[in-house]
Formats: sequence, structure tokens, C-alpha cells
Amino acid sequence: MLNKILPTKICTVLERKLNMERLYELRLRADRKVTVNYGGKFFYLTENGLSDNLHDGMEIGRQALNDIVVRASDYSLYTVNRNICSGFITVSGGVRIGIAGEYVWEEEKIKTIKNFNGLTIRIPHEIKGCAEKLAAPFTDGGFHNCLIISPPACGKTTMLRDLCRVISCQSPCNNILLIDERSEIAACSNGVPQLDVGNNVDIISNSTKAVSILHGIRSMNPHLIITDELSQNEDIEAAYTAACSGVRIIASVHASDQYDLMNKTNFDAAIKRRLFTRYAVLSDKPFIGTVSGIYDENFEKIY
Amino acid sequence: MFTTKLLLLALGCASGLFVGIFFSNELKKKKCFYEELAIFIDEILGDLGFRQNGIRTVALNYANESKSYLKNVLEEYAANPNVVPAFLFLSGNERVTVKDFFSNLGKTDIVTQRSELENIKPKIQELRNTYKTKHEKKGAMYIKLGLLAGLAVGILLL
Repeated sequence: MLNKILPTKICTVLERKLNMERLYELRLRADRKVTVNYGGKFFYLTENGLSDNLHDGMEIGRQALNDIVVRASDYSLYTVNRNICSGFITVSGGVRIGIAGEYVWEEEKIKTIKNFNGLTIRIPHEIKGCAEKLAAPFTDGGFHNCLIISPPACGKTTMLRDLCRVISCQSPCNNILLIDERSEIAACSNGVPQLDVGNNVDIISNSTKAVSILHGIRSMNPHLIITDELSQNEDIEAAYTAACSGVRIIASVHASDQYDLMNKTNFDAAIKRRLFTRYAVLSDKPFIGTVSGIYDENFEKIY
Repeated sequence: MFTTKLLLLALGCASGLFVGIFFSNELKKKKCFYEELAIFIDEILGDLGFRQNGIRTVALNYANESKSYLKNVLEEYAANPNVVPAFLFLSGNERVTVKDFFSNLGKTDIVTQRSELENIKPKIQELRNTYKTKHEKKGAMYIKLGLLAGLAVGILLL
């Protein structure tokens, strides 16, 4: 997929000089040097591979950023305008392109983003088995409402994807509803998941959590809902809706650890009311996807 | 000898007729091209408002229905949207207008795209009407002139 959207000179270096399995992220900034997250560390991308030296880095022009976004939209920018207004687009294979640029407002709504000056291309990796250590505590004695706490780029989405697959495979009775708001977890293309999320999984993508949970519970009768970042109050309300409907939910949140989570005011009520009975903290030390600890509803460490 | 002269006359008429039909058909092809291009613009506007399948899908679907020059143009465009077709069958301002249309397709947000399509649609419709009028007025005339010219050449050769 990357070779369809990236400029040829960048594709050539990626294909010939790097191991794509270790490439997590590309950062393209207008008229500045290209950087990559390779194996968990950032480097400048050069014609010969990677370097720590700014002067060796390959530069990318402003027009090239625009061309990348147009190609990523399959030459129909209007089809992804809603996603662009959310600051990202997702392309086939679950590749997510975050967009920085000038926001255009109209009547207090974001109409579009123009004059792109930065793209962050995140490349998904399936790591089957990475969620095995979470599956047991999350499902012992039945499904729990679980929250995966993680800073950015610590393998949250990869973990959710594999968790969905593992739990789905545990039993044919496990009916899972996967809410893939940004099409990153299952990366559906024409309704077909491009990444393995397991067999007994129904996927709602490209919709808000609130709408997806409401519709999904009514129509798909799930036992468990798996979704990505809870950030807005509406997302947490939607999680309550699920819990009150007898459906368990596994979700994630951006925070460095459980203490950081406790400082998020919109999670106060959820923590006090013990909405979540399991918390798992991810870290990138010693490597991305490390489970630092698993906690119960009182934040007592259980694993 | 008489047969040869008759053959020459027939050949002259046929050649003249062929030339007349050729010029008449050129007008008809351009009329059809702009007719279908106007419909294609409506198809994209419909896609903008409803399914949002993307321009390549709309182009490929419409190419299957197209009977004019537009068929090849859309197939070429759908295969490689990065490359604007050459439009060698058009000339002057018409070529510029149509090339600009295709080069701007898919490159802007939904509101701007709609606005661009609404702006170009009257120009395309005007070209369609122009060629429709030309074909009606001059199409038959070219054929008749061609036949007459062929007949005249045939008689001269006699």
C-alpha cells in the first residue's frame, strides 16, 4: 500500500534499505527532513537508509504532501473529507495518516484542512500472541470491563487487535462487536477486514462510538464490545450504556499510567463507580507493547 | 470505356460522400462527447451527494455505458488518474477546458469539488449545444456537398 501513496524515492529506500517489519511510523514535514520510527527509535531517512544526522536526511516538498493525501484518497479527496476534518485518513491495510495543516472553519464547523504541512503515517503490524497475557485476566470468571492505559505509540491498537482475535477464538459463544472508528484495528476495505481480528467478530467502522454502541447493541447482540480510545465524554457515556445493557467493554485510553488516568477529570466518575474492573498499563520499555501491570478496580496489582 | 467512366464517376461520388460523412461524423462525435461529459459531471455530483464511491469508480462505471470518445478517456483516466488524457480530438480552448476539468478532479474537498463541477457544467453544456446545432445545420450539408463535389470530380474526369 505504501508504494501506491509515497513518492518513488522514499519507497525505493524503504524497500531496499529497511526491514518493513520494523517500520512503525513515517513523519513527513513540508520542506523538511523525513524521519522514521524504526524499531522504536527515530531516525532521519536518507538515500542509504537511516541516520542520526539531520544533514543526511531526505527532504520532502509541500506539493509532495498534497500528492500523498490525494493518492491516499484514491484521487477522490471528497470521499475522505469527513476523516480529513477529524485530522486523519486511513488507507487500505489499516495505514493511518495523521494530517497537520491549516483548518478551514465555516459556521463553527471544520470544513476541511488545507495547506498540509505534516503527515504522520502509522503502519500497523499484526503481532499474533501479544495479547495472550491480557486475555486470561480480562476474561477470568467471565468478561470484565477493561481499560488499556497506554501512552502514544506503545502498541495499544496492535494489542486490541490481537485481544479481539484471542478472545474470539476462545469459544464460538464469544460474540464480539468491534467498533473500529478509524478503521485501524480491523482495517476493513469494502467491508472485508484486512487484519485478523478473529472469527466471531462483527465490525462497525467509520462511525462514532456512541452511535456504534447504541446500534450495535440493538442489532448485533454482542457479549463483548472492543473499541479504541475513549477520549470524549460521549465515549465514556457510551461505555456506560454498554455496561448498563449487560454488555462488557474493552477499550483503551491515552495516559502514561494509572496515576495519569486518575488525573483525567472525565474519567473521575468512571473510576469512582468502578465501571472498569480491569486496567492494563502498556509501556515501550523495554520494548513496545510491554504490559507493565494489570490492576483491578481498586488499582491493586493482580498480575 | 463507358463502364470505366461510370466506375470513375461512382468512385468520385463515393469519395466525396465519404469525405462529407467524415466531417459530419466529426461534428456528431464531438456532440456525443460533450453530451456524455455533461452526464458524467452529473454522475460525479450524484456521487458527491450520496454514495461517495470515488471518481475512479464513477469513471469506470460510466465508461461501460459510454459510446463516444469519452469511453476511452474515462478508461485511461481510471487506470491512471495522475495523468491527464491528451484529448487530441479537441483543439484550442476546448482542449484546455476539458483538460483543466480532469486535472482538478478529486483534488479538493467536497464543497470546493461541487462548486468546481457546478461551474464547469454550463460550459460543457454550452459546447454540447454548439455541436448539436452545428451537426443539425451542417451535418447534412457536408454530406450533400461531399456528394456534389465527388460528382463534379467524377464528371471532370470524364
